[in-house]
Amino acid sequence: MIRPPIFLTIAITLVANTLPAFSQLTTIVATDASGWNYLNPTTGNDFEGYDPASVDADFNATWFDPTGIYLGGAAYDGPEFVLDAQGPLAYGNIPGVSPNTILRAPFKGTRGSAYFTRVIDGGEHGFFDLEFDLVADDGAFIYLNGILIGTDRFTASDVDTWGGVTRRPEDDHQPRRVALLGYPILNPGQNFLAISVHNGEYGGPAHSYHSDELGLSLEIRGTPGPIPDLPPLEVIRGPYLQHGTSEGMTIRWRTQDFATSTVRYGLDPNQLDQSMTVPSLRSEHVVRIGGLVAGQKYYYAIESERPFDQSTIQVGEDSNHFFRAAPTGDYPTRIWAMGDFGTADDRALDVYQAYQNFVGEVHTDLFLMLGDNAYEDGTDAEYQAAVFDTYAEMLRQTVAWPTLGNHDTHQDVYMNIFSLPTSTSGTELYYSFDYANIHFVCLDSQTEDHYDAELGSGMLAWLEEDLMTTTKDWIIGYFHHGPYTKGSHDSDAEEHHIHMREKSVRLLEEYGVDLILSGHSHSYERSFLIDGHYGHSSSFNAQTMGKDVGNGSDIGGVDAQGNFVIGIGSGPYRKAYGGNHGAVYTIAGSGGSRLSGWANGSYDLVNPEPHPVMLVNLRIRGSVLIEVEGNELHARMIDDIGNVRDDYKIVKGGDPLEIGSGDETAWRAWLATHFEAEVLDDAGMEATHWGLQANPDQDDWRNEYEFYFGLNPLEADAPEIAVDQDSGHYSVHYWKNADAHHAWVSLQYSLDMNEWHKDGMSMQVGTTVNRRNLVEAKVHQPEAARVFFRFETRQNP
Amino acid sequence: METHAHPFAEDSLHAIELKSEGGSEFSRTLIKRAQSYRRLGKWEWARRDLEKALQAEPRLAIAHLALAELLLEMGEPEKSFAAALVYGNLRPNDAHGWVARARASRACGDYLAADHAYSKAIQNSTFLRPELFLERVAALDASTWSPLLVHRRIMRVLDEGISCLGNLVSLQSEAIRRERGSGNHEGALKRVDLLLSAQRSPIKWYKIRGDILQDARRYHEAYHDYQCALCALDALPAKRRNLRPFRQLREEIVASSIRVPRDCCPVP
Repeated sequence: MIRPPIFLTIAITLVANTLPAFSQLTTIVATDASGWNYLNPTTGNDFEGYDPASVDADFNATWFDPTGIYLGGAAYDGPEFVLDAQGPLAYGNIPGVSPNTILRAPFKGTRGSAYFTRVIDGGEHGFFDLEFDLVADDGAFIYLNGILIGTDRFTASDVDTWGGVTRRPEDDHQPRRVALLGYPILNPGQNFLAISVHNGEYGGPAHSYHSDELGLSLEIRGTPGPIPDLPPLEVIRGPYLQHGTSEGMTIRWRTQDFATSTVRYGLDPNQLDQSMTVPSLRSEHVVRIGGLVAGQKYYYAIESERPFDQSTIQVGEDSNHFFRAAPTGDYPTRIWAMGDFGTADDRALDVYQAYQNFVGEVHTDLFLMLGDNAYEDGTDAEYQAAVFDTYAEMLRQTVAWPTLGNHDTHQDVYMNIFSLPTSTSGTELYYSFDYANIHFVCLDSQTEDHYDAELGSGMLAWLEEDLMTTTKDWIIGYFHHGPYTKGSHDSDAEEHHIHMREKSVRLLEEYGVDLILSGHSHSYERSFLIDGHYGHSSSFNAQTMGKDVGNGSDIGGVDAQGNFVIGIGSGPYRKAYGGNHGAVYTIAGSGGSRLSGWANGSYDLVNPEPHPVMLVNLRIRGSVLIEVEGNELHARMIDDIGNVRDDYKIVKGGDPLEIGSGDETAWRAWLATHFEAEVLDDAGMEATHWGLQANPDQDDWRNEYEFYFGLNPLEADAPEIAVDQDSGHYSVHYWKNADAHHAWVSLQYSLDMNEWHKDGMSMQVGTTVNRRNLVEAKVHQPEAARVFFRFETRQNP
Repeated sequence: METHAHPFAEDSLHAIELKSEGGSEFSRTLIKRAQSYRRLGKWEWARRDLEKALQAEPRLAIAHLALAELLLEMGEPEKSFAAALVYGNLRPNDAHGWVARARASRACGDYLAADHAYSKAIQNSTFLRPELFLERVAALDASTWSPLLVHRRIMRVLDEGISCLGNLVSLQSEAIRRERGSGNHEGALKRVDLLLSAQRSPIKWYKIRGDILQDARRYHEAYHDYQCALCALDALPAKRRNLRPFRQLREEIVASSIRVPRDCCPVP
């Protein structure tokens, strides 16, 4: 049996507190009561089941309508019901149910659904505090006066996708007390009860298979009126925004009681001229609106009505309740990211307040929750306090995108609270979405079977497909357990980190991820621009894996004491579009949690033994602001008093040269960028440009271009290319773009310009800073007064 | 429980101050500490905490579940199964318990029981995930039943997953792999077409379609699909197609095209 969601219990408790203590339950409908009308659709003599909607298009919307024929209305025009039968009503063998009315059974294997209605007299004062004890094989929807008031082994949301229900727990034939939605009452006088019972088996369409038995046995009890007044309907959570796309937005809120759900929206807060209503009763309101215009700002209001007493509530319809449909192209995007913030105390509020003060009136588009969103266990009550009460203002304007942390142990709560994309992944635990020119990928690092191929990881298969499909300029990934940390957790020792590093990060980097955000360690750690490090921290090689070991900032950097100092910036990290040019990894796990010590036991402000990929290691509380516009990503760490404690940029270059394009202009531009010295056709440098498709060395390589130049080491030379003679050692220094594949450039030397040599020359490539490597090539030729060097460059070697 | 000071550090875990012994808070703290030990690979310590929690509260279901998971990791699947069974008795409709039982059965080599437990887990899961179906497939795959029977059952499980969760790449790609392995080219092609119609990556799936057609000796169509894959690759923005995996895919597509018999290729 499906357990009722936790909010239901809360709602009922609240209502129950208002009831008179002297309630006496009276049986209103006994299990053997007569007066039942039923429709058990089988056709003719062949006992073939059929769907009534196939003969009456509006059957599914009208059969339970109290204004239908049974209460004197005319709304219902579908197949006729058999009238005035006595309960229980069934066919087949349902233990504990001896039917007074034997229904007509379809052949085994054909459809088995039945529809039951009856009129109930509420007497002079009606009834409240109703109880429904039910055996419905296999499951049922229950309507009272046209409103869905309960389900048995379905969820309320199933009714909206009734045709799509394909599975339910197996049959156990046990009588159950129906968890009623809200606070249904029997009005004085006539009431209309309608129950649909559906047979089915997991794995097939709900109407279709194995109709061995079907039946209904129901007893209704209640307290006679007068019906007490209910407390006014209130919104006790939200509204909050979910699953924002370029076309749609999900708006959610919670009321203390079951009520209808309506969102009104429009381009002007004073003219909300569009609306979307979900008529079924919910306390957890989820309204998806579609047909939005990408990039457009919309204002909205939410409304709920409790039908039993027409109590209504409305929130919004002002300038504080708005959202923006996700832009599809380049758009200045502001992202707020942090993890481990779910403490619901002053520490979390300080971080939030500091961020709000820092950004001022500028709107935050996305809120990335990096896990451990609600301490201690991620219960619904903890989420209420740590997320919905703490960030209420932001959540009604900014779409929140969470990932699961180790403290979010109540996964069912997490998945009930959030509405996340599942269409490609099949689960809310990992998903992706686009906003402007950014592709976001959320992974689940908490649930072992998502990353463990031994357990059949669907996440990695999904991830690769997802990354293959995106064409966005930027890729930002986030998950709770960061691949590199020596904070309060050690990525060398703990399996979640290791798994993510070895499997997921490898794939993300292959497909050009730019930034990875994580939490878990209660500190702030930020890496250089790195690529290809999937092992133990001791295996990190800055020469080969550090794509840029500068600080990435054009204004300053963090000094050894942990202070952000203006003027020591080494310049933004530069990445060419395309190719695999590294990513920055950020641990932002101090959004509210208590600050832990470092992995080595130290409690210093700056980690004395940081992970070697990490440039900035601060034991401070704060959050990360990321702004992306065009080809530039700008990230800052804002501490809990509003100071910038780290600052870096990633700037993407132009498109790489088209291989085989034959575009000499583009090639020259590329060369100028990559070598920062124009050597072609420079007489002063004795360079010769051999032209398109030349192959002067006859080495049978498919060269796009080949050229050489000679340098007289005894003469002054171009500033970026220096040749030194020292005791017969000739050396060439040049800046090589880090993005250029090592095999694209071949440096050779000659003494006579006839014979060219690679052997006998030592090469040393320096670390990458600001996308450039300083290369030094040395030749030992003590007898030669003049040595020629030749660069051979080629694409796609 | 003080979980914030070096949660991974053994000393600090030892030093965690346990609340008043015997209460439910005490048991919960022990379970949390056990989970921390488990993450560190300190299995015996974790086990000791869980057993202590169960001594305090023998019917504490989550402790039985945690113990089942731990024992499986420790390589004691029989004991893991027993713990999962106790949990199942306490919470008969809980999917987590069925998953634990399925994994323990699988580790014990009882694939029939594992298959049954996975089916129960799937039936009772409030939030289904493709991993459950893939795990069940892996369990079936390890069984020693008739290969034909296993294949049929695996395909049924994958189709159940697709029916429940949608046309997911994770499930379809596994199904395609198995259809190809069994020589059912038509079945594999239908599944690839489903993915292509769902606007999944055309490069990869045209390439796979070409491979299947080549297996089926339908060379003209295979060549055509390889060309489609290359076209799709060329249609990618340069910033994407120069990524390593796409460069590698191009090489693979070209290599596959070359393997198509020359007389089956359209004359350029």
